[in-house]
Amino acid sequence: MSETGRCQNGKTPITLKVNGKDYELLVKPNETLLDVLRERLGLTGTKKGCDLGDCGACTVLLDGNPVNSCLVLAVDAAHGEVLTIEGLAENGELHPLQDAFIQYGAIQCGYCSPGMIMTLKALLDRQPNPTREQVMSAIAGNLCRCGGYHKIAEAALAASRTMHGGDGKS
Amino acid sequence: MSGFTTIGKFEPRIDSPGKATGQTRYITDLSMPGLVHGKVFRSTHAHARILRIDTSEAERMPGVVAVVTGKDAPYTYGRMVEDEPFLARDVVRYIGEPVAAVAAIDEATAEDALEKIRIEYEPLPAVFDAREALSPGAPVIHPNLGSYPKGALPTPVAGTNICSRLKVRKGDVEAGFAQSDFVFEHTFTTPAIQHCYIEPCAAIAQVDPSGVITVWSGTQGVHLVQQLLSGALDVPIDRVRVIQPPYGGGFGGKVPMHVEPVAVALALKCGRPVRVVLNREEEFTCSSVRHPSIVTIKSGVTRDGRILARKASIILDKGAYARTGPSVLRNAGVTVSGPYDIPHVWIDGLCVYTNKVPSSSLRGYGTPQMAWAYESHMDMIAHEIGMDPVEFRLKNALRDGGENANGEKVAYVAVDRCIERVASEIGWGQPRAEAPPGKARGKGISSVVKASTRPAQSIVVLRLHRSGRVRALISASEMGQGVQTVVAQIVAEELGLPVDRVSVTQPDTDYTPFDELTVASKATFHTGNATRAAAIDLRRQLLEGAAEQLGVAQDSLALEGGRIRSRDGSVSVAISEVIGKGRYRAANELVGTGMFVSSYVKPLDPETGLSDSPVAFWMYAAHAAEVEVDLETGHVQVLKVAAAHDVGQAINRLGCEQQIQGGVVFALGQSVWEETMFRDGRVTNPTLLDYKVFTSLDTPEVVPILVEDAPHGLGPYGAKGLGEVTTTPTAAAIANALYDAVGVRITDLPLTPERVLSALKAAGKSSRRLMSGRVACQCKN
Repeated sequence: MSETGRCQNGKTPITLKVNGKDYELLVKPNETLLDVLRERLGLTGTKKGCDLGDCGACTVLLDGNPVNSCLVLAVDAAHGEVLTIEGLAENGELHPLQDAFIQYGAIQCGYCSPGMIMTLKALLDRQPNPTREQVMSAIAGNLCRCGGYHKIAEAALAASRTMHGGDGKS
Repeated sequence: MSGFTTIGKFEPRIDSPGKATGQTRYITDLSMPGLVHGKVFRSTHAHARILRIDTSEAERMPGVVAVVTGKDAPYTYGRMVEDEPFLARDVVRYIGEPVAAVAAIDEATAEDALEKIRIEYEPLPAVFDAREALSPGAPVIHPNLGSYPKGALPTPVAGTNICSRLKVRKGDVEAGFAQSDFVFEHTFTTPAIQHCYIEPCAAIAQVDPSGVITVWSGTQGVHLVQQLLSGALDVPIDRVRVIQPPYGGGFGGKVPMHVEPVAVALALKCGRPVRVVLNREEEFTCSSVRHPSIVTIKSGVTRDGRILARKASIILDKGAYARTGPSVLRNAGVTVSGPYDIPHVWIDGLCVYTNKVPSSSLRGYGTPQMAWAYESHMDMIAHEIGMDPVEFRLKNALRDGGENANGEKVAYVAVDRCIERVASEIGWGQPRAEAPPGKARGKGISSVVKASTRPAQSIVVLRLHRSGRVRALISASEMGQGVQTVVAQIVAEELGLPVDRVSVTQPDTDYTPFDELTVASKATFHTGNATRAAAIDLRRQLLEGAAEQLGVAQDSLALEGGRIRSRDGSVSVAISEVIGKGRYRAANELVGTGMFVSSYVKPLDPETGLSDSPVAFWMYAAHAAEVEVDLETGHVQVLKVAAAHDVGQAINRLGCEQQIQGGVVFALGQSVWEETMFRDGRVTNPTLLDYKVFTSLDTPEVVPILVEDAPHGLGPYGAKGLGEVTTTPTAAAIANALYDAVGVRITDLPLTPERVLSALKAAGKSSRRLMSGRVACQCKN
């Protein structure tokens, strides 16, 4: 467990950087990062699909790594840097992944989309030119029940091309 | 089709930007002042009498604001048969049935309070198998079935577990068998399937001091929830308001009220807004599943491959409550003869209560179970009579002017072209690709029909503002299928506007006009037609105003790019100059209304199942698949699926591709491993880990093919529906490909490695002898 402050009333003070902003919070020992984001910070863009780490809808980046935020205790995220879907657009400009998800039809009900996009952001940060197989492998822990993953893969590959100065068209 | 500006184009979805940025507020994202959280105390018995419930300790817990039981909320509802209580009274009929509920200041407190509820049961004999439930002496699950209020469709049999029956009698089936050269009979089964939408069911209920009940619900039908709640609570329908925020997937699973009754019961008791969200285990154990089925089909066939007669018996396992069962049975019954022209048809269907989680609508509405049976059966016959499976299907396929099982002369049918297109895409008849050692490859095909809905009415209101932007008020539910974009495109097409000038509302019974339910792939057809009528109404008003201002005849004008122009290009005026001037000088907006009713739908004759117009429209499709079977493990790897759909006219090509690819992957899971496991009525695989849906790594290439050769005469621009039939043909195509690969036939879904391996062993085709990759195959392609 990360170093945290002293317990108060069974709650632990932590600091957390979320989407570039610092927060000081008192959290319960069993409170998940997901619930802190959604219930305490009002960042409902991160979704709760199963609360068991099976669906990936709650994926956020913690210190750059994709995590199921329903499986991370808030106290374990102390001092961490969290990026959620709300923090992805910069200066009003959509991230290329967000733009490609819209243009390529990677979104249907959209409930898996924030988690998918965050997982793929981590992939493109590590591997700017992924193959289709690498994309499909990266999102293996993110379930989509509306679509067939095909358009998500197309969108991710288009975003990768855009980020390299292309226009995203294949 | 040419001449359209947006219809038929690849149009990015208008609901996507909010979803891509996390800004869309879904039902589970909502909060409000004073909100408390409801949790449900559920039956641990499959069938038992409730002797005593003690909630006193739970009520005393700090943070608990209300506890309710069936005594507090003695309400019963049911869209078809009024058999389902808000909370069980006297008797529980399945494990997971709501018995009591707690509202507390947070979810954890509510969950703790559930632990304090004490209950005593007297167990009753339970029945878990539909065939056993039909046998004499079986426990009767609803002893008062004969006195339940019900709609026109269900035909329950008092004193039995029969929830509904269906009969189709066309021609003389025995004479048809007598004229046939061969008669084949096979039996097929399918298990209970889960919807697995990623956002669970959720609702918030609030009762204001005047007694108006407001429910925010992730429902597929705000007007259905309004009607069911007002009926159950005996309050005027206008005193119930239902609002549908965006929600994460439905697939038919958000037609039944899984959370609304409990939320309302708690809100009535505590006077605060109450939120109820199912957790994932509750989704698996006590929402709704697809009806498990047992189908026996017998067909009489001539030597040259003409089907003369078909007799089928259908048993659907209803679980404990009717929900949509009678209507699912009807749609199963009218499609089990397939997309084929068969002169003599005899169908008997039963929908049977058991002590399990209720079955209800699930993407396909009975047709995936039927297609699994009849398309496996078709393949088995083709191989028996030595005919190519594609040729056999084409020989019997319905064509315009042919007659279906209901005795209807059909029109706008392109199933033959669907079959031809997928056969071509999958390389039917071409030499088989070499499989790696220890594996075998094969190809299979399946062609199907699905019915849309009983008579339905959709109303749409369009508000055209002076700014040239349109707000579409609809009650059709966007659940991921793309109806909002379809509506925006139709408005844009008719008014000559860019699609981004049109926004679409979320349903709210106080403001958006009637559209009972978004089911049966009906929205493009019904809501689409109503939208088009509303847009034409607006266009008429605009042209009247513009013609006056410009001093030209209305019929010389056209709408384009937000302006009304004369066709010769000499004069034009902007929408913003028509509204607010002349005859519209005192207005900032115009309102167009449109309505569509599929009033031409006629009920089936209860004795014969015949009707010359049994449904609003039919949907036809064919899928072809290539699989690779691992001879050592029995694993069926799907390599490719070609999916052709007779859409009439695509409205949004992107949306059609999404629906086809998504539907196929949805159905692939159900083909090869999805199954709800039960032990004595208890679901034993209630997680996404144990009940595995397809992931990206399991997903093969899926080629969507839009067949637009047969536009529907009554659909908007010729469009038919699409969403559900995308799941109907897949499983049989996979099983037929499995047979082609290894020569074994499996008649029970899913096609698990265990089943495949044991079938291979039974056929003497176990891995060792076939490790060379050469496989005995009885198929020609």
